[in-house]
Amino acid sequence: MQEPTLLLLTALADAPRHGYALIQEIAAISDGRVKMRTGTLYGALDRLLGQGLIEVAAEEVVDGRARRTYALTDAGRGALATEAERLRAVATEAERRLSVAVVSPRVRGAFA
Amino acid sequence: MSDATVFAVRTALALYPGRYRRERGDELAVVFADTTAGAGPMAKIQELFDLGAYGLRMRTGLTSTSAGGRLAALAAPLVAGAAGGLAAGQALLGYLESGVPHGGWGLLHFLPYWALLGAAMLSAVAALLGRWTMAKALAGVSALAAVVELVWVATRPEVTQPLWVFLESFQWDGPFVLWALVLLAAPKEGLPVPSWRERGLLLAAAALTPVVAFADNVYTSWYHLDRQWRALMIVVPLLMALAVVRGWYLVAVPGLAALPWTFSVNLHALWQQEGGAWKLLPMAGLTVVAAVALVLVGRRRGPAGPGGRQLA
Repeated sequence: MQEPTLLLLTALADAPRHGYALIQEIAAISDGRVKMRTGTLYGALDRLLGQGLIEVAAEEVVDGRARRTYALTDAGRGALATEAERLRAVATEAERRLSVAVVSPRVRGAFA
Repeated sequence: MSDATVFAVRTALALYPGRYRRERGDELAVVFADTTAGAGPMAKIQELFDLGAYGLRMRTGLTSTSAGGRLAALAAPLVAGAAGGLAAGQALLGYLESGVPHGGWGLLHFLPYWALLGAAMLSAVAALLGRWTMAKALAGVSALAAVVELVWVATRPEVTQPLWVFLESFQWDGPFVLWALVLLAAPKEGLPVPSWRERGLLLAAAALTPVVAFADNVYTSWYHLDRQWRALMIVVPLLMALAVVRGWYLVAVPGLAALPWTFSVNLHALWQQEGGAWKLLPMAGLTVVAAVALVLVGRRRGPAGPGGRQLA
């Protein structure tokens, strides 16, 4: 799963959200590193809708402005859980290896 | 939003297919307005470009979920490898024949040519490392340099037949322009994280392309090859690429990867052997009829399901 997809599914994991709220959530989750643009966001939303991982939860007009709210489907929740488990296993293994690593001293003047 | 911004957003939305624009246009405009509220001109331009780019992808059927977008993305490793390999081959051949150009006019003349070769080789390296944004940017530089070189060559004062010279040079430079277009058409989210398979395909294409291109000296021996073989070298990869409408990616991917080279290298020879571009019209007409028939048959039967032969 590519990072934008992971971030998008994560942003929808706790509650349904509309387009602009998703952009804000993704920026917050990634600590400001990923700023998804409108076209890119809707490209990802259309793809995930097509894959059945998300659905349109509500269509409403707020202050005269059209707004759709998107939510995870059961399949999307399952895909996110599987990816989270995979990442957790990798992180655990990385931490285990770091804790047992033997740090060798750097040799000055040696070729890299 | 200012009047200028509203006009720009409407222009960007006009790139979307009508039905999608009617259903989602207002929603997209609202998200754009919220996202760019208080943003500077550069941020607004970038946002507009992104909004329009997705519309253009939808309009041209090059999204990550469409057959065209998937085909371009799946062909990307082969395309990057073929371009890099052919560039390396041409650079080596040029060096062996002419050496390194020295200063002044000679250097200036060769600058676009060497830029296109260098950018194509670096693009292949970037693709090998999975740096697709860099690979696409370098392919774009390569294509731009190729266009500059083609115009430069064809518009020199001493040239009396610019079209002949243009097409003659196109057999060398054309593949890089067309391969770059395929890479640029590939949606970012559809491009693979290179595994050993993608890297192997890329390296195989890089090794095989210059061998095929130079082993038989296709460029200089146009008069040794009958025109029907030339025509087949264009038509067969074209029909292979169009097999994507049936979901036959295993056939379509190599077809699309080969087509830029086979088209470029044979166009000039066919034109010359026929004695004029208009004489190629019957063949072009038949090809278009076959292509349209293939597309219509594909649409009637629908794309291949899970049982279709696919690469991915």
